[in-house]
Amino acid sequence: MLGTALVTACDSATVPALPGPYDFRLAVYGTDGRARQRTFHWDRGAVVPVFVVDEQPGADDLRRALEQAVRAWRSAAVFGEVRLRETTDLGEARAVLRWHDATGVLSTPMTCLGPVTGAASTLGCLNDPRDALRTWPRRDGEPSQVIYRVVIRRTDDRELVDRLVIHEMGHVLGILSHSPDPSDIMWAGPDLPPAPTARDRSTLRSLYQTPVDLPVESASPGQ
Amino acid sequence: MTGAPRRDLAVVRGPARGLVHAGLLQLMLMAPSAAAAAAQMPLTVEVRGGGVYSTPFARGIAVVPAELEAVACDLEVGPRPAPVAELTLGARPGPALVLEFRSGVSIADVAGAGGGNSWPAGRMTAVHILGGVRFPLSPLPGADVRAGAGKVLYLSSDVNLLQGSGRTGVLLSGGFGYRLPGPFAAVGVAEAQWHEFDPAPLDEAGAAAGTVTRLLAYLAVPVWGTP
Repeated sequence: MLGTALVTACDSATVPALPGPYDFRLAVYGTDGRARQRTFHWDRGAVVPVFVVDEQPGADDLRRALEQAVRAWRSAAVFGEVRLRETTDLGEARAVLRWHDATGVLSTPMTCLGPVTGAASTLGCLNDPRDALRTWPRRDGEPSQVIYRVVIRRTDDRELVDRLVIHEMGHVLGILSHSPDPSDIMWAGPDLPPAPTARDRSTLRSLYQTPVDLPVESASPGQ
Repeated sequence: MTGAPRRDLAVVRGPARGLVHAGLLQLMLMAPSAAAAAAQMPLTVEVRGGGVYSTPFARGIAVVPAELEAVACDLEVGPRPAPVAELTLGARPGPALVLEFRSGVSIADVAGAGGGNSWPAGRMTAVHILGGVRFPLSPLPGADVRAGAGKVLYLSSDVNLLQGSGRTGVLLSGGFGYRLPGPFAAVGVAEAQWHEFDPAPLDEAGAAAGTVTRLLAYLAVPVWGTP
């Protein structure tokens, strides 16, 4: 079941730096075992609502970090392609942000299982043929539009939290791989920079100029 | 993702850019003598209202990974057509010349477009200030030609392209007016404006400065003084 989950844990090794935007696509392994590079992004012009799980100590730290991430990524979208915003309405949320040790608002179906191996992770679910993203079911059984669950390992280092949340929100916006350059916010290792670099920003713009071939499967009631 | 080709994120270009500088210089040379004459002339105040259409601020692709260049789509962003209002102070130093100082404003929604759809990208206010002249077009009674130069300023809190520096530009304008039949001294005006556009976000993408064209159509009504 692990193969059907999309996990972007952030502790993998680095590879040599390359010029220009890095590859933002996700390697999806099909039932034939072959990997295909797939692109997902929100509709151009979308405002992506992110829900911060409140029933936990330190939620305000996450909320503050999310505000920074909203600002950090917004300026990169020169054409107004996409932006993030916080929502307090779980019903409209497309991503849920929480501490790793907190009780979540989403239930985890077997097809969405995946490890949280790094300091933070963004997890999405693929459908059965593995050709689309599916929504996360909610614990309370209400309809869900959530595509990504974002988990941050608890730490008192606020600066680190800020950087991790900016990084994970890069995944939420559609950068589903990691930068090969350690100086970029979307690098997979430690010591992230405080904000998206020119290469990160360029990658986001390139992403939104590329057609989607990993769509979102329409949600079914109760999921 | 090696060998990523660069394509300029080109704003609209054209010969108009050179004309901006030439026209401005010409008007600056005329200004001292004209201003002195205008101080002794009867003044007219006009209000003007109409619409403005602008060419996109930017279009193209900044950088595209090589594998994706074939499928990547061009995007563009620019203001939607919007109403424009203007206040003009005019002086007539002679029967064949009117000097005018104009200030106008328009509030426009900004939209992105590309890949077969469009989306809202914020809202902006454009303020322009111009000095200019108009001459009667002798073969056509009631018609005139007009030209001017000044500055345009874009204000916005949510249009990413208009953040930071580079939101102002030197403006050159040219157009013609025609006295409309009827009991009121209204003049219909068609005008084109050109200005340079080089905001900081485009610099980051390696784009060069370019020219934006604004097309205006409005009705000018004298509210004070002798038309």
